[in-house]
Amino acid sequence: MVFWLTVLALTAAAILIGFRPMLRAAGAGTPDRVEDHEHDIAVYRHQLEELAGEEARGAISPVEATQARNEISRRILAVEDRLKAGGTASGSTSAPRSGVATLSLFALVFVPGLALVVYTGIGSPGYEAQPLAMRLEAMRDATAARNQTQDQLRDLVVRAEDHLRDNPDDGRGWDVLAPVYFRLGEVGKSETAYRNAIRLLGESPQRLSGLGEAMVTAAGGIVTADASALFDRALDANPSNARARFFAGLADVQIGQYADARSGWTALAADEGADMAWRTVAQQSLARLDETAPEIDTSGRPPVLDEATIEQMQDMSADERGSVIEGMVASLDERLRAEPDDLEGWKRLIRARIVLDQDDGLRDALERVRNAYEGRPEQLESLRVFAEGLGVNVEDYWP
Amino acid sequence: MIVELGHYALVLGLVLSLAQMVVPMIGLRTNDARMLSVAPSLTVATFLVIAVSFAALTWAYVTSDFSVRNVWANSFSDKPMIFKITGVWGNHEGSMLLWILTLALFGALVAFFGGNLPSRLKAAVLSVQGSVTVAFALFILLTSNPFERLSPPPLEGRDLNPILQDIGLAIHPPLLYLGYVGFSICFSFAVAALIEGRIDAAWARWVRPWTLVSWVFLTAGISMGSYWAYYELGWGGWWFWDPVENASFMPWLIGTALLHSALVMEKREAMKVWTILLAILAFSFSLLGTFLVRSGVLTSVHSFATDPQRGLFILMILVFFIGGSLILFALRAGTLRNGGMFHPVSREGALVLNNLFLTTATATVLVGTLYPLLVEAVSGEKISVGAPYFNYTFIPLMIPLLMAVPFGPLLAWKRGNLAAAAERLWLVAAISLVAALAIAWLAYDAPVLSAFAYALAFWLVIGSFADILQKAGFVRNGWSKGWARLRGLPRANWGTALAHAGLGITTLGIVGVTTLEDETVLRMTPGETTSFAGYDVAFNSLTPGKGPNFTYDKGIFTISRDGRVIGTVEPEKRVYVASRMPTTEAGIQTVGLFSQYYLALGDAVEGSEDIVVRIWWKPWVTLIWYGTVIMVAAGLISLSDRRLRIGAPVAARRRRDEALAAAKAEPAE
Amino acid sequence: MTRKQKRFAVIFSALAVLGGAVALVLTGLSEQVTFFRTPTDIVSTANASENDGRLRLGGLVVMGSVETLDDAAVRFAIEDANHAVTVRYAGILPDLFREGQGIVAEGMLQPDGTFRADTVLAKHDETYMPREVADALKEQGVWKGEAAGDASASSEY
Repeated sequence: MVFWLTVLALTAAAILIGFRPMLRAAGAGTPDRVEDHEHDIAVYRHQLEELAGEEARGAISPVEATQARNEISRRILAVEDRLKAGGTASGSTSAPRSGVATLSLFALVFVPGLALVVYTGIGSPGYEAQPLAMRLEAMRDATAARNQTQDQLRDLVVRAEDHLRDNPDDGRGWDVLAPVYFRLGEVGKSETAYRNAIRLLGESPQRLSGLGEAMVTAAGGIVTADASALFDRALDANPSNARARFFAGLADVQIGQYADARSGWTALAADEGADMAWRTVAQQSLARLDETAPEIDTSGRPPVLDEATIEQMQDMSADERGSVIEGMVASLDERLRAEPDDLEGWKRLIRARIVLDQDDGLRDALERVRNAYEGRPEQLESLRVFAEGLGVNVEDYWP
Repeated sequence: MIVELGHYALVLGLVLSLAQMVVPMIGLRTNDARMLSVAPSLTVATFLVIAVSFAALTWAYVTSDFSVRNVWANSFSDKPMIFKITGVWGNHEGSMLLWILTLALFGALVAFFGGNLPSRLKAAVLSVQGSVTVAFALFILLTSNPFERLSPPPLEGRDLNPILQDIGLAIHPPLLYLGYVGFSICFSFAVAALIEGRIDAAWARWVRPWTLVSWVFLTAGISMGSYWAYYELGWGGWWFWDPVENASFMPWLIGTALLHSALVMEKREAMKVWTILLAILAFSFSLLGTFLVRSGVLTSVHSFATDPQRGLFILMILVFFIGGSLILFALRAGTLRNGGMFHPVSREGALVLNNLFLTTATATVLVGTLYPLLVEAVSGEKISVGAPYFNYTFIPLMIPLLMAVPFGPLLAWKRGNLAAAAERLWLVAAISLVAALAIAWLAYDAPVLSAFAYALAFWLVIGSFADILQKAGFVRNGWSKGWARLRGLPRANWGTALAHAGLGITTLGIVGVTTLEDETVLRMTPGETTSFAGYDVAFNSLTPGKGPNFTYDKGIFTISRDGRVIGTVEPEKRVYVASRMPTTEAGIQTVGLFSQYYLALGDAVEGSEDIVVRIWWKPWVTLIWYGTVIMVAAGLISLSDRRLRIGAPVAARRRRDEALAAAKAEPAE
Repeated sequence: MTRKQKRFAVIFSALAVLGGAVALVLTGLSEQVTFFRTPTDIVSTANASENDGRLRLGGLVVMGSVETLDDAAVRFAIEDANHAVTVRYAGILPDLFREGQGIVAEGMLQPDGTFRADTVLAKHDETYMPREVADALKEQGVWKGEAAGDASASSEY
């Protein structure tokens, strides 16, 4: 609202400044032609003065000076002639009334109308500015608020844990506690609680996808094969489970099937029956996917990690990060087993094995790629050169 | 809210400039004073809303609002504040916003200072100016909108290209734009004059200050850019004949020609058609320059990633304005009657010669710049036209021009006396020759042929003052009277002399650094001392460190001569954190007043403490830029001449009657 | 001088200057331009005289080929899909010169088949590929271009 008022004020101010002269009654009529010619005369007069100075200094000969003077004088007379002619001609012009109408049309309709129409077409009116300092503050406030609720949750958890210590077979208790653990960031306990709940109460889409989410988080954002199976089971039972749908999409992204991920997330984001939180997450992930993934679905791109995962990874210890990378490498390895005809993918795998110093993995990868490209010396040669660039002589591995 | 307000203000700017274009045009057709009278105020309003828009983008940069895509792509939260601000125009979108801000600013200046312009002409000028603003505002909104938003906003930006994180960027592009865009005013005046059909001395008098302003800014901008490339790129070069440099040099050459031909038109009503054409060409070359820089059709060392779609849009703007104005010119040029007659040997003749050489030189630069495109289109062969071609064609055209410069101001209008002028200049010639031979033989063992080049430079510097000295007439009038006359000279005369002398000083710098420059590349170990170009360079140490948003390795070198320390230079190799991009910071020590010792660090030699160092000895190099500073100062002095500020209408009205009376008294042939 | 003679003098001098300039431009364009070659062009040219004069050699810097010589000069190889040419350059390599990156070297081809460069160009942009090099590699089907190239990353000067 404040924004639109400001827009209105800006528009009004600009129009007022821009069209102010039309309010002056004296502005009506035809242009004053007399004034126009005074400047001309001043210029010619100046030319005459300069000529006199030059003649005095001897910069121009008297004969030439006289000639020049004649030329200038003729121009001055011409101006006067024009002045007379113009003075009579200017009387017969169109009525000033039409001018006012056109001007009002411009000032009151055309300018504000077109500006607003164009702006609403291309702008993002509701979107507040996001200065970094303000955003950081908001994030701090949010953290503080979260800490407060977490304290309350912790009290609850302590009581619930007491209860479950006495009644370990209370499936309802585990079922309630599992998502609370997850919110408190105790992913391991959450996983256990979900497993207990499933054991005692049986599988449900909610529990399966919750367990999956906990496992993904524990793996640093990687949808492992186990977790992926859980989401699939959850979707079998209830195809509209939003959490499972989101993670199924993430799994697709991580193995490079962008088209599947995109269609899945698009459907989720558009599904009005689904949980709003998950729809938002899907929407944001889609946007990021569009930013980072290629238009055409090419395999062989690095897995996309969403921002949350990357943030988490930054908080992890080196060991934990290592396991995430290992997870990624493993999934790449797996994918190449299924689709071996992907030279770029192989190169990435080989580089990863070299960087991680996994000699066995490297040997395995090189053997498989040699089989995959048997009879295609060009590709093998390009691999050889690539490996050489990383300091590895493939002949050592290809006996 | 501020960001969106800026976006809205830009749209409003487009709409207002559309009104600025259309309303006065209707007014001209219907001869309606009310509609003509809103032209200046609409121009001011357009400028104000575009300024609001620019301020909003600047605010987004200052507060690191990464929800604006443009800020995210070109800024970084840890960047020093000054570079956050200069980052606004350090990228395509922002620089185009600066471009139309400048465009609108010049329009507003005409509206503000043009109080004595005939209202019809003023309305026509502002209308044409408005049409240019419309074209570029559309270009920005359709292809390069700086207010595009990102949601959700990323946490950190991608940083500005580190080579652009330099104080040079704060100054160079705005100056260049003020020059480029300033010519739009000359263009608008030319087109307006063609529409209105009044092209006379008065027109030239209105246009000349604007040409001078643009020329001053363009000179300063090119010079600044040259110095910036010299110390920032680390290649020791000050001019590369690169397409982007040529793009700014061609408008400068044409602008210089326009400055001189407008003088003839104002004083003698001659060269009218030609002057109008030059005014159109100067801005056309500015547009061409923008196109070359933005489209990336030519490989350049100064421009980076580019977008062909934008290039196409600018090409359309280019074709519309250049084509349209030239068609109008062709239709109207025949109706112009030429004024004053003159003899080939005269001030007018000298200025024609000046124009002939300057425009021919521009044409050779244009051919060289566009030839690769032509060849590739015709035969598919890829070639590049580099410094050898430009030196080969441009220098031979400049030599006769520079030789003629001191003669020009000495020749009388209409019919000059070449022998008399030569007589006054023989002393200058003798002094120049002696000084040049002294330099060539005594001070350095340079080739004797270069003595000619030195003589030319001295001839220019000294000869530029011949006119002033002659006007003072010390010999004829004695000292005290001579001084009085000197002080009484119009500032424009001083401007002419100083500008020509500045050109001579730049020439001297170019000749000096070209003939006497020396360079070497060598490996150095910390503690080692090497001798080069008569100086000892000691490599003291190489220390790593950390700047605000980069890490660096800094080499410390001491330069001394015969045991006397002259200075310490600290060249660096930097790596910027966000972009992981390395850059080189040269170490420069000025020796004496005008010469420089220039060091750049290369790569470390693997397996040793050695580092590759490139050293240049650049004698007289700073004269190149001092000369341009003098030219700029000369332009400002001319601009302050009261004769360029045309008298107020009241005073003019009084004089008109006198002038008319005087004119009638003269027998009309 | 009569009016006719005056006009003649002006026109004649103008034509003289223009004629001189045209002569300069024509000889300049035939002698002073630099042709662009790829390593394949150089290796596979039957007529050796086509490689005379100043050339621009463009391609990718071969991995592991860069070495600093004793006299501070640098030696490296430039390759395209088929061939490589050894380049010797005395000077400081541009900041963004890297192995595997597309660059352009300007200089003369030596009789022994190596290339002696006096200028090496690599642009100040991470994603930059000199236009000529990109075109040449595209023709050979090696380089596909940056499919997801971000247009907003452009910058000037």
